Parts: sequence; C-alpha cells; structure tokens
Amino acid sequence: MRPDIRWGLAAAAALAIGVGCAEPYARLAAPYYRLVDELLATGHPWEIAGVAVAPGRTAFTAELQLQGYVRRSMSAANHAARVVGRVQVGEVVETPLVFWTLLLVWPATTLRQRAWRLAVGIPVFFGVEALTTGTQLMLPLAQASAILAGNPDPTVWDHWSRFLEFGGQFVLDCVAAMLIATGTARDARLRGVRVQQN
Amino acid sequence: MTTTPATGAGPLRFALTFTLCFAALFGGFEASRGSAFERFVVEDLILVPTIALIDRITPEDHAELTSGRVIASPGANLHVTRGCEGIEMFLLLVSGIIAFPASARRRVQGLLLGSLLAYTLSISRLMALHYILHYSPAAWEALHGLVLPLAPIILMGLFFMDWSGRAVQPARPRSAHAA
Repeated sequence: MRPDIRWGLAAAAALAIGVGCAEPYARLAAPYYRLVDELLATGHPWEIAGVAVAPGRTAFTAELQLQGYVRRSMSAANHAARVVGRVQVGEVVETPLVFWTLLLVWPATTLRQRAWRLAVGIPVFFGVEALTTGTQLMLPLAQASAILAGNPDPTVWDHWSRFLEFGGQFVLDCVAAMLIATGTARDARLRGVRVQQN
Repeated sequence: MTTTPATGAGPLRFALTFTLCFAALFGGFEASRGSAFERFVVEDLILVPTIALIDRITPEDHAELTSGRVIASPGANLHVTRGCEGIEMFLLLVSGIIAFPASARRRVQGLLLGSLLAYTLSISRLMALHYILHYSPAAWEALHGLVLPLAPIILMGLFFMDWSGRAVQPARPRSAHAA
C-alpha cells in the first residue's frame, strides 16, 4: 500500500475513533487531569475542587470542566473567586489521537522496536497530556489571580493557551511522537537519514 | 515517495527548527492582532470570500459578516474566534518547509501549492462550520471539536509528507580521496 494512502487511512480511522470515544476518554482521563492540576496549583493560591465531564454551554456539547477556587494570596483564608475551566471533549481527545496514531503507524523493523517505542511513549504521552489539556484547564485560575491582583494584561498562561489553540498542541503531539519514533529506530532508513551507498 | 514522514538529516534538528519557527510565526501573528495587516488577512482574505461563497451556494441563507467576526444568518451565528480562522495551517506549512532541507525551488513550489491548499481548506472549514450550525447542529460537537480542526491539518500533513518525499535532495557522491 502506498505510504500516503496508509497514513491517510490511519488518520481517517483515528478521527472516527476520536468522534466515538471523545467523551468516554475525557471521563477516563479526568482523574489524571485532576492530579496534574493539583500539582500545577502547588505554590499558587488555587484549589482544585474537581475535574469532570459535564454538558457544555450550548446544546449538543460536552466539556471537560475543572471546578476551582482562587484566593487573593496564599495566606488568605477565604476564596475570592470560583472558576470553571472548560475544554471541549473533542479537543481533549486530540493529543492521544495524534500522538498514538503517529507512534503506532510509524514503520518499525522489529516487534522489539515497537515495544520499546511503547515503553518510551507512555511516560512522554502523560507529559504531553499535562502540558496540553492539563494546562488548558488551569487557565481560568491564572486569569482570576491576575484580575484579583489588578493585572489586566495576558499572563504566561494566556500566551501558552493561545499557542496550544493556534496549532501548538498539534505541533507538540507530532514532535513528541516523531522524536520517539525516530529515536528508537535502529534502521537509519526509518530515521529518514540518507545512507551513502558506495 | 518515502515510507515515513521524511525528516531530513536530523530528526532532532527538524523538530527543534519546526517548533521554534512555528512559535516565532505564532508570536509574530499574535503581535499583529488588531492591526490592519491582521484584519486584511482574516477578514478580507478569509471571511469575506467565505461569505461570498456561502451566498453563492445558498443565497437563501443571507449570510453576512457582522462586527465581532460573526458569520451571521437568520439560522446561525458563527463566531470566528482566535484560532478558528485557519491561519495556523499556513504557519505549520511555512515552519515545516523552513525546517526541512530542500532546494529553494522546491521550497517555493511547496509554499505556493501548500498555501493554495491551506487557503482552500480554511475557507472550506468555515463554510462547513456554517452549514453544520445552520442545518445539523446535533453534529456540531463532533465536527467542531475534533474533525474540522484536525482533518484540514492532517491533510496539510499528508501534503507535507508528499512534498518532503519529493524534495529530498540527492546526496553528493563522496570523493574516495577526500581527507
């Protein structure tokens, strides 16, 4: 089969799986996002109350929602704001779809190579998930803190969120998968390296 | 045609250059938000032709561009927010072509053909979003959240794979007497 057809079919299959599995995946991954966001909240006056899938603001939509509280400072006793971080379930499933499709469909010469990729891919995948969906959910907490501090300018969190929404998430997913696939390839041809034939 | 997405002589170098180029282009475009250039690109080059096409295909929709970048019609109001315009496809294309080792001729060819594809996909995506919102809102979640943002980028990726497979320059034969 021609490689472009194989990749095209893999992409179409991944999209079909994504459409069917977006909401179940978001439900399954919600506890992980909560764990990540609690870690990210460390050192900030933020409290994560929960992460769960809920109906969106418009009909026919479902969202992964983070419920959280923001205090004015670390020492403040009371919450100053309650916020909701929202990511559509379709966006939640983007990272696993892109990352695993690339990693699994990328040609390998041996089964051992595939197993090695899988072993390296799992921790990297969790890292990419934290950097993408995990941080997207935290944005309203950072925005609320900035507003409470009287800072109307976009924060680093805003810039990161815009980067992700603007295709940066796709770039991170692809680059991470590509580096694992090529890094674990023993065969120089699979790395895309041109071998000098003498 | 390569069997994998060709990444040139060094996957790490390609990945770093691609990411840095994309980040720089993204930063540059974000800095231009609100400028005449940004309005020209988003409104005059993308939104106005999209609405003209919608009006041509379904004149009964009476689509028009209202303030706040809304493609408004009696049955649907599509708010085109940051990241929905399709600009990212151009930035991904340019970053990939800069990062990949190829001749200037091949780069220009890739940029021209790729830009044409990206432009077509940008307009098609916005039209699809309008029609989905207007005629099949039940399909909105699956299509707006996943398929329509990702499918055009995947098509751009396939275009890039094809271009990079053709653009790999033949290696120069190494001299047997080279030091």
